[in-house]
Amino acid sequence: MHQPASEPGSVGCAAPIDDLCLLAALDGQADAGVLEHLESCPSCHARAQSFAALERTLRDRLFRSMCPPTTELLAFQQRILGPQRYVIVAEHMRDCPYCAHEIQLLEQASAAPRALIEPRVPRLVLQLYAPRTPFPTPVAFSTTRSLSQSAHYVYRAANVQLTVSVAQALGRPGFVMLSGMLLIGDDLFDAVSNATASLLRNGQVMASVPIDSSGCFTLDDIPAGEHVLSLRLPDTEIVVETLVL
Amino acid sequence: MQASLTAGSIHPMKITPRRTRVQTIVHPSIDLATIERMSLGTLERHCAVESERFYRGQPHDTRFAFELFRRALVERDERAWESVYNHYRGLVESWVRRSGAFASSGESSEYFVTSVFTRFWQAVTAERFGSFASLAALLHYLQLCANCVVIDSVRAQSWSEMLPEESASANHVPQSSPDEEAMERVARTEFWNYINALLQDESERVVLYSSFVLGLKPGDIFAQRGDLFGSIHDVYNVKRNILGRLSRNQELREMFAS
Repeated sequence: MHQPASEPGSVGCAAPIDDLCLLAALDGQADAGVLEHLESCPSCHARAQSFAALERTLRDRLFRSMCPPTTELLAFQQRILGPQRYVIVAEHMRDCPYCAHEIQLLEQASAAPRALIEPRVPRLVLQLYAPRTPFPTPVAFSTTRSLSQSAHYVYRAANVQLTVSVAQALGRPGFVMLSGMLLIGDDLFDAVSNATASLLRNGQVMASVPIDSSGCFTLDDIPAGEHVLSLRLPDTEIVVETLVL
Repeated sequence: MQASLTAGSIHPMKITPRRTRVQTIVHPSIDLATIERMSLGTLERHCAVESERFYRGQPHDTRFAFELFRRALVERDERAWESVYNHYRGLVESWVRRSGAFASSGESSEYFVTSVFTRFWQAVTAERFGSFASLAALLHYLQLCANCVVIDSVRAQSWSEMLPEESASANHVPQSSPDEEAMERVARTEFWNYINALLQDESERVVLYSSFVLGLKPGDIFAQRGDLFGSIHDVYNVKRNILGRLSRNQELREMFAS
């Protein structure tokens, strides 16, 4: 194991550095003369390395060994820790700058409103670009459930294009299936992660589905009528304000 | 690469203060028994609609999502669990990203999201599910798990800053189970107690604890405990005595060698 020589006058060194200077050197507190000596003297260098190795071992085994686990830290911050442990952890907080910092992070996270509602985001209203065209064959991304004639719409604004196909639901008069494909510029993937497509009627969400990584979505069993189509992306809401199905 | 909408065509809505309470409702035509009998696909569709209503600040029914969690956590239905993950991962990611520690973590948000759900799964067993009376309680606990995961990352950072890479040991590898974590804590406490018994007085205890448990430098120790030490030199003196004594301890030498 590590055996730093604690006495000056080590073998091989005419003017050995004392242990306190060696420890200070390990802490980066030594002057240039000490550092120069350590570089050129194998004996003092070896003693310094022995101290360093022992310090490393102790640090590896002891660093933050008294810090409560994160679950307990959280319980402390939430004021739900048992009274005995609360006192012990509170006392630890007084000494430990790391736990104090972590508590601060938890306080900040807790201070954020617990509401899960995302803040309002900018709204982009799409305009009809291509009028309704009958589409006698099924569009590529519609399911085989609807083989009847479907209508095809294209909406645009800025660098956004939305293609919508609407078909009558097979065997369900008065109900339709809506398929959509969203394109945003040249790069879609990041924009549509965690995005949803919803139909609203009178302001109420009637149906909602996630938008896949290709920008596609399908809403089925939708009652015919006038709706608002809303695509909720992480930082934008894309809207077709009047969609008559 | 983040796609962006062309500027100039967006009509920004007036940013309104975020509401913190949204009315929950119960669909009168759908009772709990019906929900429990629903196919997973139907349940998912209802969850999607009600979640969307919630996000838009509209009255919503939480029973569908609660049933989804119940199937995932009580019945340990893997498909239901996958559905929970897909449904809430965006929300969890937003919590993680909002954490002050995330930016400096160097980890991807996806790494944290997976860790959060793993911790949640481990913590909320079938037996413990009964203590969650509502969807809000479940989501609150999920948010707490997100906080814990981020804090664990901050801790790992503090270790890597304090410990040179070549000496990092299994002591600081994040444990995968609460049992392993508890055992590691016991081992560290026992080691401290053993070392502590070799110390001679309060000043040695303060130097050892401050230097190696808290990672403080002698200058910091002197600044905090000027009542015990006359100078930084005194702190180094005590430290030298401790290290010399520990290095000569045969039992410790064998312990470190093993």
